[in-house]
Amino acid sequence: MRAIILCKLGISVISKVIDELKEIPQITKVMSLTGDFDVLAEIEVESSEELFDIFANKIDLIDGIISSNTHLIMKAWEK
Amino acid sequence: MKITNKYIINIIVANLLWSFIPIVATGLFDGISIITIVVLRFLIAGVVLFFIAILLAISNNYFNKDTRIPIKEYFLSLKHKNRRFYNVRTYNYYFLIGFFGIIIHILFFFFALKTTSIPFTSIGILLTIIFVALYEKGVNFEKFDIFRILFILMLTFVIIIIISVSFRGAQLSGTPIELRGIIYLILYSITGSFLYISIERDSFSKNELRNINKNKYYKIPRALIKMSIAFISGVIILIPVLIIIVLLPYETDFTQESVKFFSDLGSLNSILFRWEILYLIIFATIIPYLLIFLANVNWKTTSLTYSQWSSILGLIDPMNTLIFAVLLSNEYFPHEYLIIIAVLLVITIALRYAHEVKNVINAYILLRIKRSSLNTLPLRILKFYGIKEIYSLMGNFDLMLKVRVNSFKDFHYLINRKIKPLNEILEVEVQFVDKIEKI
Repeated sequence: MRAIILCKLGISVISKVIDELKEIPQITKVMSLTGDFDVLAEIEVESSEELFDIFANKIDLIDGIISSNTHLIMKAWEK
Repeated sequence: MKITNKYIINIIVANLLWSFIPIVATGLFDGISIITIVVLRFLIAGVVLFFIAILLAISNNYFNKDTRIPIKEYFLSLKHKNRRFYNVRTYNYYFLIGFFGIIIHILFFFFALKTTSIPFTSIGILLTIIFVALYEKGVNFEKFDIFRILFILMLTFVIIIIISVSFRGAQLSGTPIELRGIIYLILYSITGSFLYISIERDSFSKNELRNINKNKYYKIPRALIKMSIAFISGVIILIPVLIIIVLLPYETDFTQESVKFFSDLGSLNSILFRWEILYLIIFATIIPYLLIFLANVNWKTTSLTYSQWSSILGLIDPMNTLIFAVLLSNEYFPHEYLIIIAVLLVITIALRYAHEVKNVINAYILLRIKRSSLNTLPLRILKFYGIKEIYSLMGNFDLMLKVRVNSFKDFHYLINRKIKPLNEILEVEVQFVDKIEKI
């Protein structure tokens, strides 16, 4: 199960937040963005419980994340 | 930025193998027609690559758990119109690449090699790089940033050094470089630029995109079939052209080589088993093409695309050709100049890398779409140039498109001319990737 997390951050916290997100093993990709959101993270988990665990015990505890917007990936196409 | 892609080594090995072509081929020119060499090389390599493709397609169906793709599917797609290449049908696109980009291109290369010298011919690839850069500036309006200006300057220096040293070497050996040799070299660079620009203009039909997403190995046999059709069709078109050349009243280098080619046909067996011909077929065609196709197909999502890395590392070929020509073939080239050229070319590789990294645009496009369009819309969008992946999402947005293009012009075209006009799209939100932090 994969999901995309789009985060809005406070001021001067971007490198700290990115470093902490990178530490989470289930997070496979982290990118800093310019636009409405500041950071995009892709997460790969076994179940919704695991996703909840990571949110409750790791992502929610990172200081500097003002809001996050999570989207589950239902299907992927590539070329 | 980390280089984590192990397939870069494939491009390096392929370029190393190609760099020996001039040294190996010049040994054949006295006894065998240039045309015989080209015909044997591409006809046999084309047939072998075709059979490898069919074997891979069959084994893919039997040993892989993904959905089976019937062999005929690989050929049905040949009829679809290539929207990135003047809407010609795919088989015509392959014929054009095969005849002008490969067969004629290599013929001019060998003619230039025969009438000039190996160091002088190595200018051809450098000229091609400059021509392609000018094309991108003129046609695609790509910016001439400082790195691009510098790498073109470096290449110009290298070309000037090679020309002056080659002319001195020709004077010393008493075999001057002829004007027709220079013309062949320029024609070689022009056909090379055509190959370079057009080979990346392949497009997938909707059906092929469906197949790629059903079976992840579909792309490998497809790429091999593309190249084998290009090789074989190029050779087939060449034969009637040769007959016309022989019948024309004008005597040219092509007439002599064509007559020699038809007389070579009687002794094909002995020619075929010469080690130089076998090297050209196996190590300079089949193996490097297999290596670059594997690299192209398995290319991981790093910050640079396969074609960008391929263009950066393409400079290894002329560099090695020069070094090995001087070391192995006793070509006249003072070592101090060789060292200067090697240093300049290494700097050029670094500048090209800097140029490509600076110009790549990575972005995510988030879309809200109309209800009931989720089944058809993603495959329609996936066809657009620059779209690498599409995710169907559950959340605020319905689709996320992963985009990578080389210029803002391409990005602007994708958003405003391709995506926004789609009726099914309600909202478009663009997020540019500033930095890739973890992958």
